[in-house]
Parts: sequence; structure tokens; C-alpha cells
Amino acid sequence: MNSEESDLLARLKSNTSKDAAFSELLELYREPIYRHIRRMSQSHESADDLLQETFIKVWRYLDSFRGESSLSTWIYKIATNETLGKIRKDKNRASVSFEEHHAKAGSSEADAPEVIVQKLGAALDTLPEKQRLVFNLRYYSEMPYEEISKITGTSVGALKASYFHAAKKIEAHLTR
Amino acid sequence: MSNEYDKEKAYLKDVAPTLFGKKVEIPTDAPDDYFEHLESKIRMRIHDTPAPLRLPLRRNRLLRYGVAAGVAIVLGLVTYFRYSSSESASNAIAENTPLEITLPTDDAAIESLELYYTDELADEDLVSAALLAELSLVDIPDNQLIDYLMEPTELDDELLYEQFY
Repeated sequence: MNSEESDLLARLKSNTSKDAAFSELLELYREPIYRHIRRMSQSHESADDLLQETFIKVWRYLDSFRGESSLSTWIYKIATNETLGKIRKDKNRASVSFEEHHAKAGSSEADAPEVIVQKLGAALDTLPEKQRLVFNLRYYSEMPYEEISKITGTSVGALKASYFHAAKKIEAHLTR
Repeated sequence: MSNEYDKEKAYLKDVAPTLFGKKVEIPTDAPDDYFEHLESKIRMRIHDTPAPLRLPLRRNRLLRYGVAAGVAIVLGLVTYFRYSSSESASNAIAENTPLEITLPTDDAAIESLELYYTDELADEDLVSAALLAELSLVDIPDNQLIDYLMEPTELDDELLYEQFY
């Protein structure tokens, strides 16, 4: 944990400065965490709900955070667990795939980048949830494997294999 | 980004050129002004939802140990009483039930029984022969019956053991 994070954490744990420090924490993490959730959940409505849940949990469980990982890793972990929990819950319901969602939104013009984005979304849909999570954290958030390992509880070696495997699968889907 | 990330990207560019040639961004933009109202929404929900009841860590841990010990004791007692009650129940049934050996009355069965009832056969063999004779009504071949009767029994093993040791 760097000194800025330690300082923020200390203020978050103090009753007198908790409110202000929480605003600061929100300012700092709301956008990256939103994007992280959004890549997994694919709709703004559910991402909004999950983001709120994540920060409510951060507020409530701050006292039990012992600083064994960085503050950001801890927040990502909460967001990931919330999102995966929601995905598993929704699995039984009829879900709209990325491809369908974007087609419904009327954004399926035949220009190449849009098609690639759609294909990528569809390819991500086919990945197992953990592989997809690893792909998002590495490809988009450019997170070091050590940090991803703390979030997912998977070894660095397994994460690398998972990422390469996901990349190959997606590439095959994109070039089809 | 770090060296490690760049090296990996260079390698993956060969394996997956479409994906790593130029980053393909999935749109993740939030609606306008979304983040401006987020904090107030979160604070409202924090205020409105009661915090889950949480015991202090130490009490929580003690409670867990207590519950685990309680469950172990209950399981132990249930197993003990179940075992002892089933054992005493079967003992009671055994004590109250006189030993009855019913010999077959049917002619064919008696005939086959006589075939195997020789002086060399012990009482146990008589019982076995009676049972097998009953079974013989469903056509068990004679050689199988003979093999069965000539097979050493546990009783024979015990006798051998006593003789030699």
C-alpha cells in the first residue's frame, strides 16, 4: 500500500474524518470500478446498482479491512464478488447477450470497428466467468498479475495461462 | 505501463493480432452526470439500510467455537444413543424370539435332505442342508449343493486354530 492510500485509510478509519475521506475515495475509484463492473455486467442499470452496493460494503466493512492488500485491490475484490454473485443469480433468468443488447440498441451499423466491438462482446460472452474477469482486468485495466491474483485468489501462473487462453479464443472469434 | 506488460503485449500481438494490434474498446461510458449524483445516492442508501448486526471479532470467534463444540456434542450424543438403543432393541428382539428351525415338509426336499444327511455332517450342516433343500425347489444343481456343504466353514477354521495353537 502506498503512502497516499495509507493516509486515506487512516482518515477513513477515524470517526472525525470518515465522511470527507469517503468522498475522496469515491472520487478516486468510482469511474475505474464502474468500468470494471460494466465490462462484466454489460448494462448501465445493473452496473449502477452493483457500484452502489460495492461502495456501501466498502463503507460498512472498512473497520474489518486490515490492510493486507492495497485499498484499491480490496475495493476491486468487493466489486468483483458483487458482480459475479449477480451474474450467477441472473444465469437462470433469460439474459440478453452482449450482441443482442447492442443490436437492440440499434448500434449495429456495418462499419468495421463496431462489428469488431460486437464480435468481441460476443466472444467475451462465451468465456467462463473467471477467464472473462481475468481478461478484463489485464486487457482493459492493465492490472499486474500479482494484484489480479489477490482479487481472484488464483495463482499468477494460472492467471497467465487463463489470459493467453482467453486471448486466443477471442482472436479466433474476431477473425471468424 | 510496466516492462512486463509491454513484453506480454508484444508476444500476444503475434498470437492475437486483431485484439492486440489496436486495443478494442467495449463502450463502458456512463450516462451524463451519472457520477455527480452517485455519492448522494450511495449515502442515502447507507442511511436508509440498517447495517447488518456484527459482533466484535473476538466474540464472533468465540461464538463460532461455541456453536461448533455444541454441534459436535449433539452429534456425539445422537450417535451414542442411536447406536446403544438399536443394539439394545436388537438384543431384546433376540432374547424374546425363540430359535426356530423349520425343516421342509415337502417330499422332494426331504429326499434331497436325506441325501446329504450323513454322520459326518454337523448340526450346522443340517441347518444349511435344510435351507439349501428348500432352495433346491428352485432347481439348484446337486454338485453346487455338495460343494457348498464340503466347503470349510468359519467354525472349522476355529477348530483348526484350537487344535494347533
